[in-house]
Amino acid sequence: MTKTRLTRRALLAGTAAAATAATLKAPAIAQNAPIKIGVITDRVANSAMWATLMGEGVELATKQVNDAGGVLGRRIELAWEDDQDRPDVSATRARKLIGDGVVMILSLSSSTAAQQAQTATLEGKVPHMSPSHSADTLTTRLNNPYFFQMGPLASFQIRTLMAYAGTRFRRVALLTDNSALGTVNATSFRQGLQQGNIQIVADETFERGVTDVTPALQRVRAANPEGIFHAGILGAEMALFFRTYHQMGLRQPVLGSFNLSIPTYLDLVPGLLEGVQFIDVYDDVKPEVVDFANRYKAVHNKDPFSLPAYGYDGIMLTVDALRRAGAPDREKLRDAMHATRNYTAVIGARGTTIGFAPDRRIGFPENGCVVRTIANNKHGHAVWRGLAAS
Amino acid sequence: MSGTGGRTLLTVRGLAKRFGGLVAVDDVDFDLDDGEILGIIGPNGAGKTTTFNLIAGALRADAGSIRLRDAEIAGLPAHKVAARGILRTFQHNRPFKGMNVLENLLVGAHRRVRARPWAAALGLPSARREDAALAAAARETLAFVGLGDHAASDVSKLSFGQGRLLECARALMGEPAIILFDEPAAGLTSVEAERLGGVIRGIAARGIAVLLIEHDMRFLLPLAHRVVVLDRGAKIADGTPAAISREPAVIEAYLGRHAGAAA
Amino acid sequence: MTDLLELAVSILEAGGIYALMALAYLVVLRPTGIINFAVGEWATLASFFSVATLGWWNLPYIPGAVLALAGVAAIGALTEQATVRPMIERGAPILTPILILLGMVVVYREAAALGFGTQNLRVPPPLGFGRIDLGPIAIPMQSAVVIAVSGIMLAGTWAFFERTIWGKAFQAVAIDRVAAGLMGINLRLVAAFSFAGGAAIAGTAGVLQAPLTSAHYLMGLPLAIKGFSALVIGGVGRVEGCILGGLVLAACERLVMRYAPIPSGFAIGVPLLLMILFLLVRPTGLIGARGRT
Repeated sequence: MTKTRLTRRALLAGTAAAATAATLKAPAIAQNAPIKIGVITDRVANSAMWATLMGEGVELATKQVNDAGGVLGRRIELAWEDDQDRPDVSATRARKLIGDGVVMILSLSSSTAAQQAQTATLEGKVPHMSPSHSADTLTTRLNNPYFFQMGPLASFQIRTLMAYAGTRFRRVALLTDNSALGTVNATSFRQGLQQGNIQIVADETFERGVTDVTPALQRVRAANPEGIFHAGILGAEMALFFRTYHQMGLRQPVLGSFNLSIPTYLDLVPGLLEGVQFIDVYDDVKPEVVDFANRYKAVHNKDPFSLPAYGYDGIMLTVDALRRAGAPDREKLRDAMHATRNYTAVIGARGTTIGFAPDRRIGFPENGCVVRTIANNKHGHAVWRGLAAS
Repeated sequence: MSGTGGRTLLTVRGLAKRFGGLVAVDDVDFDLDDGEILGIIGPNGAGKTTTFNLIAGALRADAGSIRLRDAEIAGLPAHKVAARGILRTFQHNRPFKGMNVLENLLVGAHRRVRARPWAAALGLPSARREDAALAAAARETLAFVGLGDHAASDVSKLSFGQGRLLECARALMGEPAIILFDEPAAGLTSVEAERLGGVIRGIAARGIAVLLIEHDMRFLLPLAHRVVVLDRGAKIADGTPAAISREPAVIEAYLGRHAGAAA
Repeated sequence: MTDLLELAVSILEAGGIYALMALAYLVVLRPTGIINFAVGEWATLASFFSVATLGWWNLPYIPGAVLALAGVAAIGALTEQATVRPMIERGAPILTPILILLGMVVVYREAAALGFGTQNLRVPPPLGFGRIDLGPIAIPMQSAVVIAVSGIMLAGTWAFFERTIWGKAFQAVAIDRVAAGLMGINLRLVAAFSFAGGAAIAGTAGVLQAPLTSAHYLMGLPLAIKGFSALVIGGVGRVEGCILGGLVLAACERLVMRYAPIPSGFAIGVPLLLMILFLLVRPTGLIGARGRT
């Protein structure tokens, strides 16, 4: 742990030094103390992969804002904490950040960790946001008026999928893994399918670390579904599923969750994903997305996708709210967040916006998801953003 | 002070060991030659086993020198002393259970294996040849001690006397310079003891020195070339079995209490 | 039935991986008495090394795989010398090295995450992902590779223990450590080699598994758990026990998952439940160790 924090502090010191040097040219900054934004991430545990990618977006946005003069005449300074995806540690880290004077905390590790961290942010009365979490109960289990959920709920995924593909199937297989998020997704998928009067003829869960999925896919094959909905999120098990699917000669169309928006699969199982359709929040023809993609590519030399976009939007939305708040004050920031209306983020289908309301702290619109298809081993443009049009 | 005319192999000078206030071994000197059978006797508490353990490296001496040929070995740990060629048998037979007789001998031959473990793991021909040669040597040794028919027997099936012979054979496989025997005749019938005595003579005839602690005078006195007598940690006599059995000090300290047992 | 034949292949494949992991525990446990829970992370490290040798440096498969295994074997030996041996030589109770190795699990995992990142990385297979057509079923090529290589490794380790003098020496250390030491067996060399060997064996499981799933920093723990279950079922004694334990565990999992009329979420827990029940009936496992009744 100490190792991690020291490295992070060294990085932070280096970034701060560089940022200071760069911003010496901008006379508006100089005297005032920087505005601190806390970021709780996971560097080495279960959610490290996603948190690290979101962190790239967080850093990109912070640099962009600081290069342009900061916000309210002050620089943004990020305070990173690693909760190792442990809920109790997440709460502790949140308390530490609150004590350090942050005006906002972003939670990048898992939703269970974010849920627990809310106990600290409620008590400490500090604005707190999940840029990406899709758990349905994050804003309801604890009535925390300081907490905001920017990302799409799991139920939005299945609503969009059902609207797009629901009429094509009468009998489907539902697959997932036994991770926390996979289980949540599967519950949501199950409800959506049942509401759409679609029969689930095979309901299989892949165990984390399973060495082959032949028995589960044999059950699927025996049930002979018309389509396969995959709600899982674990990378290795997903790759194994696609390999076995092809090995066994299965032909049913596969529709997946957000998870398939991660480009890693195109490297892991190249060519095995043709025709797979999945839910995404990344509509690559949207002007804001094009701009974001260019900035990201300039730094990282590869195309971005949903995960960095969440992190980027997390900072950008906070900065927008800060401006409207007029001061780096926690209460004013919270009120400004509540007052967010029609904010066009990188995430979300073209034509949709993010907004909160006094009685609604879920920012993502229900019609903000798109459906994309994989073709020629690439993520294609959105093939459907139908809900947004309605 | 040579018993066989062979070269001096082991030289012990001024060996001493105390345990707290108790002096267990007190300034003991003796020599051992190639092919010599040296007995160490004395009443209970005389320091025989302690001397043994000091030579074998199981205990560290407080003072004194133990030289094997020209090399000082006092203070070396037990496995290093074993590596130098001083091997011991156990008072209570200690074979490796679960292996058969031949396998136990092969473990004893371990010192002679030149190939490294990874060569053995990969099944390299050099390792395999060596293992085959040692297996042949093992069978020969088994025949020498009289267990030739028992190569494939599980060690739990051996009688106590046969187990003793196995201990000998296993030690022999290590091509030792010296074998230490701790009360080898204990628990043996007279037939078994005679057999063992023959084996020990055979070992000495091969040029291997033998150091033995023994209480059974009927077994020891005809067997040993020379005998060292200890009493309360100090050496009180050193000579041929006939000579020491006439020494008054010895008779008084030890043999006097077993007058009827003297051969 | 096609399903049963496919399952048979699946059982042999998974059984092979589990048996290798169980063997990795065994070769360390028997001579040293240490239960090394870090075997899973050794599999992870070997997978990552193979990403480097086969993916980045593009070596041909056999040299690349062997180099990856040699790398993790070296790490195993180094771990023994740096963390375990000092404890043993200071006379620490056996629990101490076990706990140290549990700590090493975290160290290895963080090192892997820091060195190779947290994303899943592709590991190339030796013979591609085709199929071998055998009448009613087709065996996936990688499955055939896993079965063949794990079989060879298990047979080879068995031959080492049963047929070579060094193997006998290792068994002797396991049966009676003190006597073995007093007979001149170099206990340090045995300990170092058993750690290196255990690492290479666990590494083989990792390198065999990774082409199907990927190399990723969290792959170690499930493998360590499965391996331990297989070890316990098999009897913690001999190579034969590892093989049997691996096959029994794999068969349990596959058959329950395929045929039991329960939701697959529950089916995941059944093999462990069966293991617990089995141990209540027969705590020593299926096959006894040498030197014990």
